[in-house]
Amino acid sequence: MTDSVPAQPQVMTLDALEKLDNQGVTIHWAIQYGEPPPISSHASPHSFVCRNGKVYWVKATAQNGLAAELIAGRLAKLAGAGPDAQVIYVSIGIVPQAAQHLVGIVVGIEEQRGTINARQLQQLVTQGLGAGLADASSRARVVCFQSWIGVSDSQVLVNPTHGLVYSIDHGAAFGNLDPQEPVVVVTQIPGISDDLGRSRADVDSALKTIERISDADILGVVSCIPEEVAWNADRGRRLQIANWLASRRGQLRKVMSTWAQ
Amino acid sequence: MGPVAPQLGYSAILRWRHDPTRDEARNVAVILVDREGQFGALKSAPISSISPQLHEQGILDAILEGLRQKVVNEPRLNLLELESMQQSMQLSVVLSKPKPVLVDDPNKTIEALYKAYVAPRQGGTTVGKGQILDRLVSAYRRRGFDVKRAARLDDFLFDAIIELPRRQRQVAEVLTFQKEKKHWEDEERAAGHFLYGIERLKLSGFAVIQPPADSAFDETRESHERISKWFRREKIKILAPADLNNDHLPHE
Repeated sequence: MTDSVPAQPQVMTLDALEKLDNQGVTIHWAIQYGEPPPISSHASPHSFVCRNGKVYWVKATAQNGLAAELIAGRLAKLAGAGPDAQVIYVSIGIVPQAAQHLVGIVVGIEEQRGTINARQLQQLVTQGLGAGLADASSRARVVCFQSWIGVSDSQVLVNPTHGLVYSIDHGAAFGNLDPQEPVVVVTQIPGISDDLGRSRADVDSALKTIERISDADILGVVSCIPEEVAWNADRGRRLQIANWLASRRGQLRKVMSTWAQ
Repeated sequence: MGPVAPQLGYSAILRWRHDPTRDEARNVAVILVDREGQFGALKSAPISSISPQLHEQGILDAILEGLRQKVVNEPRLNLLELESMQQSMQLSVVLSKPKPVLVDDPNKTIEALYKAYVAPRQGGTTVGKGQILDRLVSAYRRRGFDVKRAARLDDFLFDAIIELPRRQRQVAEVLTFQKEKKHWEDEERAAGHFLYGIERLKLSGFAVIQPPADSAFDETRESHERISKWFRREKIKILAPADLNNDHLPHE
């Protein structure tokens, strides 16, 4: 595999982040309630149609604050490893009793149609699935991404039509921001070999996508986030997350080379 | 904190159940109303994307047009009427239970709902007969003409029947030669039926024909030329699909 990422000029400063924050938070209106969560989870997300015509699974709580979901979702989109995340405003007028906890300014993860949660597959699959169910390069992107952000309790969605794999449920990310070398995170997909996506070519391609995410991109991803308590997103913490991500990006290739075959 | 709440509307999804026993359905349109009938909107998927069968296209088009008139024209459908309609529609065409929706601008809201619930996924670039017929029907309706799709006049089935002023009518035939095949008997029979129909009923008519691709089989070109020759002989105007975007359509 090729050499590590070259050093980048210093862009990660509080002033730079403040300047970005001054652009304001983009908030998408939820206009209609969709449906309740398909499987149980800590955050009990429900879906909403938003004014931009997209459907988002909306959460009002996350283990390490809603900013964790938002930042990880934005990064996942850049890395081609998961759905986008946005800030959503949910009004009480459209919300059934079971979703009242979601009223307010919350985080939404863009719906990926036609996907199955790997946890659901666990209940349904008793034998191995066809080799073509999941796409190797997509799986490699998810493994590299989840290793980079160091998720615990990682989850994935699988689209059986295209074989694409998506990393989701990042509420536990960014809990420990001590400098630590990444470890390889391979989220199991029932019926799919853990070795899928391990080829050097697939891992190298995934790493290149992550390495193209610059410090400026990372700073952008941690900017423009609500700073209410539920978000756990004061500027100092967000800058710390940005620096932590940048540091781990530089270490990722060496770590992933131990997994690639 | 947070934007000011707009007004409350209600939306329902119209579903086409091709086989009610199997309950296999697809979303074909979204309807938006409010409690009092003050605003209303309907947006549907292109008919050609819902069913490839001409006969089904005709029925669906008629249903959607009828609903559109109820929703858009005064007195507009209100929530109570929509709920009543939903309870009575239980076979091939069903309406979902109306759900609350926030509305600041009915047009923007219907677009968002359409995108979320109805918009067909992007497919290939080949344009078939159904899609050309979609364009033809839309082109005339945008100009205020009443158009029936895949409908009969007496014994004859026409792809489109356009109602003109002074109780006149014009009919249209749509054909495409951009398919990978060598045998075009069906298209030739359809063209013959069209010509016989307009002669028997003394109608005026025109055709929209998508010509063969450069790489087409010889048989395709021959059939295209054969049909074009019949139409020219009977003085039937032939348009290309792109002509439907023009400022003036036949009989304008």
